[in-house]
Amino acid sequence: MARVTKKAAKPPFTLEGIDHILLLVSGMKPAVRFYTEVLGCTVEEALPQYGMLQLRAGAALIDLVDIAAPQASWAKPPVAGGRNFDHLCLALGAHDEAKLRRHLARHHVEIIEEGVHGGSRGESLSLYVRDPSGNVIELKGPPPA
Amino acid sequence: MSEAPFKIKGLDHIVLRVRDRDRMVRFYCDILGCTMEREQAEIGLTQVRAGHSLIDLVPVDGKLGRMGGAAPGKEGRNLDHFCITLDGYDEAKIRAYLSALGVEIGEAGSRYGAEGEGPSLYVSDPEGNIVELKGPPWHA
Repeated sequence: MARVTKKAAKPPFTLEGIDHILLLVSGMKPAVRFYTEVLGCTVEEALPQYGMLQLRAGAALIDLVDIAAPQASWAKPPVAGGRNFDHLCLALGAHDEAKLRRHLARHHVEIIEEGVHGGSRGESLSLYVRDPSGNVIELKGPPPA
Repeated sequence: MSEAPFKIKGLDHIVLRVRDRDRMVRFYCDILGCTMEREQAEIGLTQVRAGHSLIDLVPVDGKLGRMGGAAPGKEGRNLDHFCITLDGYDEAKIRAYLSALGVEIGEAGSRYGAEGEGPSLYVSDPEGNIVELKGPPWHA
């Protein structure tokens, strides 16, 4: 693909940002608990006929597809355990870091890695956790004012 | 249960595990119009900007990529697709533009996204990840 033979034309659009992401999970119940109770997403729409649940994450959506459900056979990869994406980063609003750590601990969510580095808004602390299916989620606050 | 002591504003970035960094950069920058944000060759990380979000490309044979295991394929994935919001959506023009560049275009339709129902189409990046390109909602 991408046979660029002459000077490439400009795209007839500009990019605004990531609208949503369709994540594969194994088992909807623990996934929903994690995304709503731990991360504070809200349920936007349930689509059980597709084994899907749409969650709101601020300006974006996170769609969960439960590949353990027969309705989601359309999304089930032939090989289990493969990863085409490494992790997803959620932009958090201003928050109290100590409270965030206590909140995660209370939900028995382990911080698997942390560090200060760049995101789309600049440098700030990132905490990395796993959802119950093993997808890695980076929690990132705004850069210090 | 206590409420989360933070609010999610949105998706900051996603990190794709890639085989061929250069080919992926050509697709995301030259074709989709992402801009190069930052390159950290020593750890194997290329960050491109897609509007207010970033798309990070991590070659699976780089320092970061090796920590994540084997290369992904169509067969094994944990991400079905991701969707980028476009400012301006003329389907005929987008199709003509993408097909001239040899991009495989999937089904177009009216789909639900974070801003509501609107037109969208699916394309494949060079490594088989599905990227949904979505216009503004109909009611906007």
